[in-house]
Amino acid sequence: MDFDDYRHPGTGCVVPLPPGWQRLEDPPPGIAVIAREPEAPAGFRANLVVNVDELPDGLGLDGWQDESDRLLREELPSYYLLDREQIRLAGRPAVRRLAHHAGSDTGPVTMEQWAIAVGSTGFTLTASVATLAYDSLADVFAEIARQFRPGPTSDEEAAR
Amino acid sequence: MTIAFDTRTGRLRLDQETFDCLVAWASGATEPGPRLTELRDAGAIRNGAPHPAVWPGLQAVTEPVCRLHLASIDDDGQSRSGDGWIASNAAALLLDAPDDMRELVTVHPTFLPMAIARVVRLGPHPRPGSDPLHLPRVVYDGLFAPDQGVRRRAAEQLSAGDAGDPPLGDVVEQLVTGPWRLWAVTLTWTTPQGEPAAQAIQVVATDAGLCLVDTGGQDATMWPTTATRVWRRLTLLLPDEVRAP
Repeated sequence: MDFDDYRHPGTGCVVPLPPGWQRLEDPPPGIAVIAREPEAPAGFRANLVVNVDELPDGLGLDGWQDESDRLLREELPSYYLLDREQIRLAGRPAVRRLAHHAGSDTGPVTMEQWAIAVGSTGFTLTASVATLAYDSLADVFAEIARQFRPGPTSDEEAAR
Repeated sequence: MTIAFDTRTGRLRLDQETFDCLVAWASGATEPGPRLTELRDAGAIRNGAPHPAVWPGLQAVTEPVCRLHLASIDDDGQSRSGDGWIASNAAALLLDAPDDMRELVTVHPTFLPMAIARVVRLGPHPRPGSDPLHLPRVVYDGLFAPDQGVRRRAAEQLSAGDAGDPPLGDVVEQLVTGPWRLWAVTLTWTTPQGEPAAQAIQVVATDAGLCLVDTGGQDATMWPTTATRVWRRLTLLLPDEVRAP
């Protein structure tokens, strides 16, 4: 699949978006981009969200992600962690997780997440889809994650 | 035997005989059995009808599109099984519970992958490697024997050849020492053309990783896998007749 690259002007991160997916303008603070599929054959519209967080001093990737696990359990109804692994993404250590949650307004949702820390900035790419449609988009999500580029670090900016 | 019914979740704990009585009654049997009073006392039947939290599941039991069977066995020989009935708007799972009881759980079919994942405790595991392990059926049976000594001898047979260390060495060692769980889910149904159809998945979970298990032929194969790949398989189990009624 060919993607349409979206470059977030504030952070410089590059998010490959599937053609035809709708990007929401002016997402809330802390979110670089929200995009969702134009139609929802299974009722829930698959979507991508990129969050950008400033990490507290001394909190590395693992600590940040342990805290994310706790928050996800607390905030998402019927949250269940299916998989979690350490990988490399964009040449950096990253955490990938697969989880399931279900709300009365969403139905069962499978959520795949990739988290990268760049300096003191944390980038989280979250892909969500109706659970029975997960297999049809899993490879697309994985390719989006593979092509995702977080913003440059302040050191890299200074070197330009 | 005490029937327990949670009106909030619709979970109904009962023994097999009482479940059979409930199903016979829901199917319109004139003499379904002696347990109806207890079901009424528990609240699973009220005003002459099944409780709304149970009724969709009972309808799936009496008119299923698809049948499900789940079985698991642990390294200590403890086995657990479950039966399922799936229709387009509900799925009923009847799972083994302590004290020879069974638990009836009703979910929407779209929740079935998650219900299975919870029962088999699918979750993060180490990656076990990339090469599959092909093994004679007799060795495979030995690796999953309830007796640890039998499992050890089966593992030694695997490494006795002169072809070097076999794949999945850490998984095999975990099969010997435990803990592990071997589980399988099978769905069967009849296609609109009247043909029998089935989908199945069999997985062994160890602290060294997960493997898909294929025992379809004379030999067996253990394919290294991940929880993500198992989840993808679970989301594909349902037949089209249920996915798009």
